[in-house]
Amino acid sequence: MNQETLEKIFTESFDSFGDAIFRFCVFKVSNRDLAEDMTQEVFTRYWQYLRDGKEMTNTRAFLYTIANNLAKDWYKKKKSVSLDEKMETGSIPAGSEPDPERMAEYQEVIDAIGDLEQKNKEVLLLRYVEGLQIKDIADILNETTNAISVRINRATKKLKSKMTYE
Amino acid sequence: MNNELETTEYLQKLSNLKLSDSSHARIKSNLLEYAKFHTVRVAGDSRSNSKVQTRTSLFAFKFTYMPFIILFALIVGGGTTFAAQGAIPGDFLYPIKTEVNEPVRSAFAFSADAEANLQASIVAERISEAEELETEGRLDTDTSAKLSANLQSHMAKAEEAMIKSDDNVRVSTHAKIDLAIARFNVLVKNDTALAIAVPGTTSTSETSTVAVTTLATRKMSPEALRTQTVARVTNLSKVVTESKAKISAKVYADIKVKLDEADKLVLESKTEAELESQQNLMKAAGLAGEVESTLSLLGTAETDPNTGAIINIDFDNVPPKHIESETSASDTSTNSDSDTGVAADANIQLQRVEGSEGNGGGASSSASVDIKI
Repeated sequence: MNQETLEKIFTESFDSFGDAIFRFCVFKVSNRDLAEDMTQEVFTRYWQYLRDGKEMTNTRAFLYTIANNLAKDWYKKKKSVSLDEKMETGSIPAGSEPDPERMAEYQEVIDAIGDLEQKNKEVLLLRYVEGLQIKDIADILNETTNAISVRINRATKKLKSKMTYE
Repeated sequence: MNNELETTEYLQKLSNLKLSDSSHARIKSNLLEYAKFHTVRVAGDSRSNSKVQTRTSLFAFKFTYMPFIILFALIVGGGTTFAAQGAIPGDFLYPIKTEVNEPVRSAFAFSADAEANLQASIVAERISEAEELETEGRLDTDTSAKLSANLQSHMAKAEEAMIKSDDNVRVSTHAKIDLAIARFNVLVKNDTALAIAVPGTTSTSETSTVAVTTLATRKMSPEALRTQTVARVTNLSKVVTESKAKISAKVYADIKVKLDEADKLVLESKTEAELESQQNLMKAAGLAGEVESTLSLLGTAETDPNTGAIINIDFDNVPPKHIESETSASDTSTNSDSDTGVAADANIQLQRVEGSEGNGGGASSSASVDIKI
């Protein structure tokens, strides 16, 4: 494939999946600016694959996988900073978001799931927000489908009980 | 009421969390630029099967390692910096070499050993540049002045690092610097124009003696260094006091300040910790060396074969090189005030150049001065 065709595929992928990857990154790093940088890096790596002429069957899942790996690297380096701390300071919505009402909504949801473990949060995001199949989630997170099913189930219950309680 | 549905619907509010339009546009244009810069690899390109480059740029290292990446790129990846490595003074890339490459290399020389070694290499590099310029006939007074100033600062750094470095390294670094100085002396001998510009290097026996003795002090044990330095400073004080009448007041004052300072350093060194004491002794030795080189320009110095210290000065017998470098002030051997005044000016400038690089042993061997006549 030539440069123009690939560039077209590349930018279209970004238009389609940029926001989803960004959300995933926000969940992972709890900081909007960081998540933007990370999103850019995910797509940069994706281009590296494209330009090498590598085929991929599921672009979306592939992008999530890259994002997940990047996040792992990031955690290795950032062990000292507690995620919960970041969540509590409300660093997620900070940024150039124009609509305060909407921001409050995100914050509410994020607060609601704030107590959940990181791995529970991310499966909820992938399953219910992004609507990914269990199998894809399992591939992205490098787990068995069974483990993912169980995790989603538990996370849902936890969230539900939290909401009922409130 | 379907609780589960409610929960998931609730979560779906998050799907409105998106990149803002401006961020979206910015990232998109960054990515497109990246894509255009890293074009598609054509089939058959040997790299096309290679492992995909990871850690591309923006994210993975951004937070803690970026400065190191930049430094690393400067050393390894920078075509410019690499090209600059072969530059000589007057070349477009030469400032990159001295202002970027060398400090970077120094930053990566973590141990004192590595630093000493590196600085000695840089000294040798300066000499090589001078030689190259000389071959091309581009070595003028201005360039040689800059070269020797730079060389001296690296000598001082090498010396500083050597104090803390391993004995073996010290010996090899000395060897390197000695060799460099020898090469410089050869160079200077062959170029009379340069010799005039650099009176300290006129390869008179006195100045090389000074250079050698100052270098030699670095190899000594602390005790020997102390004994020798004390001997040199005491001798010099005596000689200077005796010759007071023959030296112009200006030069005398200048020398006196240095000797007093050296005296003070020696005194202080008695009560200090070993490292500081050694540093101060070396500073004192450096000052003594400066005074010796000043004196050796004023008259023929008689040196003690054991310590290299000047024990007497024959002011009626000015070294020929000195006359050569002050053409219109020739026959300054007489002590008429005006003539020595000229010499004094020259010497004070010389001392300033030397003084600026502390106790650099090679000071007297390479200081360069524009003599005003």
